[in-house]
Amino acid sequence: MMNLQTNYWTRVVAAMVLLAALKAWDGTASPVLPGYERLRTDNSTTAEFRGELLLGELGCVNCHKAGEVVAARLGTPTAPDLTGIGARVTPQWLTNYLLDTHGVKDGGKMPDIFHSSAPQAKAGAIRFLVDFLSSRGGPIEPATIGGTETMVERGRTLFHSVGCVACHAPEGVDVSGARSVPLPDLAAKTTVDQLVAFLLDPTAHRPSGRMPSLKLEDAEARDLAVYLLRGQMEAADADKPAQVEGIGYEYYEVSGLSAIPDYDSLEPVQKGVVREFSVNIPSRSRNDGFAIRFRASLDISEEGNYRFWTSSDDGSRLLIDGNVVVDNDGIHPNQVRNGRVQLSRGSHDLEVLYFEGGGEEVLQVQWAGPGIQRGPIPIERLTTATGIEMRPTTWTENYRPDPNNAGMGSRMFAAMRCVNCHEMPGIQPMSPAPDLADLNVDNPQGCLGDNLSRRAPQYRLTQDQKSDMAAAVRSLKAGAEPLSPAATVKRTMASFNCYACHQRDGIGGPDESRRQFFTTNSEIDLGEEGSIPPHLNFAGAKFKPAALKRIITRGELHVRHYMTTRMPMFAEEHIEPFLTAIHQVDAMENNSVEPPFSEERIDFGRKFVGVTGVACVTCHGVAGQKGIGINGIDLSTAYSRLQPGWFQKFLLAPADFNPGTRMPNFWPGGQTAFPDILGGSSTAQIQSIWSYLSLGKTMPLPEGIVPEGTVAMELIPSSQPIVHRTFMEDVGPRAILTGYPQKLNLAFDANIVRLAKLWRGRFFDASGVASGRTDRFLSPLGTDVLDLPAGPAVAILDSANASWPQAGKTSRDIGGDFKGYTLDEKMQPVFRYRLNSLEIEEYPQPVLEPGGPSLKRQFMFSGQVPDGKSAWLLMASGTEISKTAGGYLVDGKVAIETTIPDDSIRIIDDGSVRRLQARVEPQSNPQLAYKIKW
Amino acid sequence: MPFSKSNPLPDMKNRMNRWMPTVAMLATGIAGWAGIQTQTASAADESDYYTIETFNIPDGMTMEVGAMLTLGNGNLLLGTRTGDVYMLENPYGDVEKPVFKLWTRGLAQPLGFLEHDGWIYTAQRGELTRMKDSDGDGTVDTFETVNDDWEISGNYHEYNFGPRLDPEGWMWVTTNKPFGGEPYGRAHWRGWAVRINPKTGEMQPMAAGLRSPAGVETSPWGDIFYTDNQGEWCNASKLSHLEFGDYHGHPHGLITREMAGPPFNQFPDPVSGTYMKDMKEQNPHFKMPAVWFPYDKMGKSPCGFKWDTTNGKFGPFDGQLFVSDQHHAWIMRVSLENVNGHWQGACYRFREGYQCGILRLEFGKDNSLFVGMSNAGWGGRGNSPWGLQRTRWTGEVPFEIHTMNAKPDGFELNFTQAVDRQVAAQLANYAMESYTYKLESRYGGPEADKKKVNIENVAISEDGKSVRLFTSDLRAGYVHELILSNFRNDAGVDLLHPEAYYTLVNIPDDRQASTD
Repeated sequence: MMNLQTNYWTRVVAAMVLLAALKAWDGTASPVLPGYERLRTDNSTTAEFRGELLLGELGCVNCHKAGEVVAARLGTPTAPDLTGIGARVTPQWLTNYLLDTHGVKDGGKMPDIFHSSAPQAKAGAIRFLVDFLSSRGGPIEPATIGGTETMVERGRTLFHSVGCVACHAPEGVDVSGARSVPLPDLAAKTTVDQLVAFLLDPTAHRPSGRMPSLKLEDAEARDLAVYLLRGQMEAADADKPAQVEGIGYEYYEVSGLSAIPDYDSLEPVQKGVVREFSVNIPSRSRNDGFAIRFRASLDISEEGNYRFWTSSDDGSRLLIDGNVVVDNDGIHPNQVRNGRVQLSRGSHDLEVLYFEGGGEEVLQVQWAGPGIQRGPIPIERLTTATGIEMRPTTWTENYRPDPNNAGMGSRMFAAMRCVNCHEMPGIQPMSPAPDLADLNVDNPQGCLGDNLSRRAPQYRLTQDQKSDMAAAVRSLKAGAEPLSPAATVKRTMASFNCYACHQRDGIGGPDESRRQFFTTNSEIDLGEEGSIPPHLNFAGAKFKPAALKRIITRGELHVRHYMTTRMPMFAEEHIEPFLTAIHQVDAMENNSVEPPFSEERIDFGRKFVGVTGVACVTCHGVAGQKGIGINGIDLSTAYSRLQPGWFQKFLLAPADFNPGTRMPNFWPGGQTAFPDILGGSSTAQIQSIWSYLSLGKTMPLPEGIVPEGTVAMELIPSSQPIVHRTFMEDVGPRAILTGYPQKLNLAFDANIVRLAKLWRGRFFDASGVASGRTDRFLSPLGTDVLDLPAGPAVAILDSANASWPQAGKTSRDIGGDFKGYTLDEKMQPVFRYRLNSLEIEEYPQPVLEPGGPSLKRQFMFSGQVPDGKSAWLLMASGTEISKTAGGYLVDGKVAIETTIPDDSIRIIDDGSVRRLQARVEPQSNPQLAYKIKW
Repeated sequence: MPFSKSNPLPDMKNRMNRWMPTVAMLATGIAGWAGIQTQTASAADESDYYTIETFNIPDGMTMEVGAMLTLGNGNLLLGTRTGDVYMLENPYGDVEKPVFKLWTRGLAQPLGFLEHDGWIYTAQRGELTRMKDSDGDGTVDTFETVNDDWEISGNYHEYNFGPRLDPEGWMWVTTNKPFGGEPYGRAHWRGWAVRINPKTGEMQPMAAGLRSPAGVETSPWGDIFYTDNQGEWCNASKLSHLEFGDYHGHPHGLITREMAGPPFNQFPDPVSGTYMKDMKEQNPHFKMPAVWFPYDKMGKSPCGFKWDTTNGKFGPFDGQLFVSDQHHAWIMRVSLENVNGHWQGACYRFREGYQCGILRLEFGKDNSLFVGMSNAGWGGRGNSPWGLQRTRWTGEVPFEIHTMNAKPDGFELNFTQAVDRQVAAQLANYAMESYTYKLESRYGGPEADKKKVNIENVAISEDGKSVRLFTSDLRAGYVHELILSNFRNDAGVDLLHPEAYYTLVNIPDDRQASTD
């Protein structure tokens, strides 16, 4: 029956026994419990307290039975559920782990149960156990998800930002090893699919909750799993791509596009896989001048006629199997186009091409077909072949558990006391160990001894751990009370490693070497308040009990939207004692007493919050609207989270609660700056804010908060023009706008020295840059917007039909300089600029006409045109330019009226557009003028 | 009920007596406060020495002061964040009835004015501009771009400050680095001090590594100084001396080092986590600050500052600097001395209780100090989002630490009045600790490597106005924070502000000390 003489097993035994023997010497593999290390090095607890933490976390009472009080004190976590282990872990990894428990997982909590076994006997026992375990739910299925370098990168970023490295060691950074929860060679252990399932719901198989859920999205879990198993990609056959769910994309940055580019001639800035057709691809760094090519394999389950739509700003095109189905190309505002195609069952190549020139950017793709309502294409239908097949590095497909061995294994599972920790249906614990109360901690052959008996599990405890545990056992034997509330709080924070992120009572908070991984998701002026999770001093007084429970156990009320580190979710049954205890420990008198509530007080509170009060809105959002300066925590969440008593005390002295906080003290020394309000009582004033906040999402907006889309600071030219420098959409950060009382408006771009935009009616909203800390590029308020040709107004060309110089939006490398402007007696600006050797004065003037004002552009030139070249004024450009009685008509809608003689004017075909340009001869004819009517 | 904006915060002097409720006390309830307030009959109040008057701003006018200049004719020119420029004629009269005349509008966030050769120069977002009212009708008609070599990406934080004239006739401008997204890509010359020749329009790079240099000023002796705000690569706000070739620590602007030429093109990227005092090992051009402003203790956002050149007509601090803070809505005071070739010194509290974060200070012809403010989207103290105030000296001399100067074996404190010798003789009345700062990528950082400084002995001068502190614990490169207890003058009046923060970059040698 015990036929072990297969080649595989002999080799494994020889190698692993040797390795284990070597490992036994290094003594590094003691169990790592970051919470324990934290308490030990922070030197703020007794040996008994730390020892109890170890007794609990290492599951001592699973063998050494204890009374109810002691068992409750120790709060032993449930060990991993092995009932379906065969589906999750390769048999080879299980074998290796049992052969060399401490070597395979250096610092793990599982003891070595074969430390004194003879090699042959050990190998036999392990084979039985592995055959037993891998028949539980096995065998492990091959991964269906392939990996890509982009996924690895995204996973790496997630791993180092969402909070994984608060407990686990970051890559390539020296952190305190003793405070890092060890990870074994995961690439050897499992598949991407299994790891994804685990990351999405860690407590399903690890019910202890020590590894909490980080609320990952499916795609994030895939990226993270591929990153953690990236070793499998190195080992994989790169020529054998796997299909991954999703859409492959390539992202390009190209300025000045007016049509879908030839992607093959461009170098993508980034590639990757996304889950929807959208402009919101990862790492897009600009809002204008980019293009994306999406490619995927579309799975058609029913033959028939299909219809596709694209909705885009600017152009897009959809192809199936290389044939254009939807053509929505060109520069345009968001517009929808559609097309039909007959598709057979099976997979088809789907390609969506998109580009954005300037302004708004939108892309949506929809379909409809047999039995399919119009809507987005479900992601399950889309796969892309950019992945590399990933398989556990220990994988051998020919491994089959022997049922007889498995039967033996199930008995060993009980005999070796595996079942004491890992419950298994149908298997009863046997051969009990002494009760905790009967333990002799000085027994050299016991678990804490230096000369372990064969039957004692080997934890490889450090001397510190041993002496702390011995102290704890002695003290528990002498009599045990239930844990005090304060001790419960501390114990829970150590057990669940809350201390990795949160400080309380001077213990905890991120290690110095890990702080760099606590970041904000955008630059926000909050200092470490924006990146380091909050301390939990007074948390039991700060939070309403129901709120704290929702925060910890339901993933709700997580209000720090700017923080990349995520607050994990813990199971209610694990956290309930902590919740009860922390509210007891932190109790403050009258903390939950609601202050007087009245409409008058709400009104005062609203004024305090607004800009003419203490201006909370400078840094806080309100009811979904962003704050003026920083978009900090939304005030409408305060009432549901906080206790009124704590709020009162916090506002009186924020820095006493959060040293170094950016929250100012608006009542320094308890004194108010508003003595006329509510009798000058600071208490009543703060209460009025509370009353206002208690309205939650229904709070009326305070002064200073302007709902998105509102015109906040409209400039209205009444008796004379308004010249206004600002940022402007499609013009740039050096726009000089002029609004004339005649309801004609223009935008001049001082970077590229050109008149960029004309419009009629209302002028402009100055709030884009002149309020709060904003840099919004706003568009005209008025109507009849006319964009003038890109590039400088004037150019010196080798020949009349040479191409017109173009410039990027910040580049001023067009040989020109803005020189300033003067205001005439009507306060109308005359712009002055230089282009190469020409000095130019441009004098725009509104001309009142039936049907609305038009614009006269009057130019004065001086300087020299270099020999052999000619200078030209760009009057207009378009696809169609025709001669009319008094001038020219562009694209059938823009009329150019001029007295410039015909022989000085050229219509040049510049490839994609036609230009209307006038010869500039500063010596003979320094003045040119023409009128634009549109 | 009207929501009135009352003037100045109430008297804050008691905060010095540490009666701020502690967290422990708070936990036991607010009721316990009354018992711990301590008051002395001879307590002094800032308002006894310096008054604050608030200009009444007409309805509909937004006075977010970003630039402020006393013109040769005594008028006050005020530039606002929305780009308006107002002329305040006779700013020395009744604050209730000021006459603001719109001089021009539409500028892109002017954050400094300079009068030179008949023009007003100002740094706008995109350019250094000069403007004038050529026809004398009371409004500007001519705007000339002097230089637009620096770039902007369209990020709100790309402010520019200045200009200020140096003795060679060049104009210095400091440029903010962006914060957050850069809509039009990364722009050059952000986080620099540059100077521009107003005659030729030429721009020269002067110093790199600035972060948010909200104040720039020419000293009475012609050197340029600037204030920088705490943030990434700037663990604490500071006042620093600007000289050609300096590196001040922020790496953002180093993308422009190649264009800037030597020595800038040799500057390496800084290594995060280095003590600033050790930065010269990485870059010999690294410039230590003249004065650090420890966070919160000495404001959070230093902005505009002014040297007191009133020759004693603004009180006893002639030759010192007044530095505004945009968060604490207060003004601090700085004394500087040159030790072994480096400008360094101490900062002190001066006057608090302004109506909001202060951006600009300007002395008037009558030696009053104009105080221009705007919270500009930042949080801070006070009860108004913007405004203009005026501070005058009452003629009473406050009992203050006038200067704290470094000595080879300690410090010398000079007081504005003779100290109570008994109090000053007790070592227990001196508490000093020293700490320093690292250069780090994170946003703001702690006081690092903190140690108690043991005051071993003191000596009081015969006139009682200066006290020598002796210690063997001096550390070069460290802030030495001094807090005096129980100090009063010989008339029994309490010391108005008992703290001083000396940034000891260099310890003077004996030779220098012997010249006292």
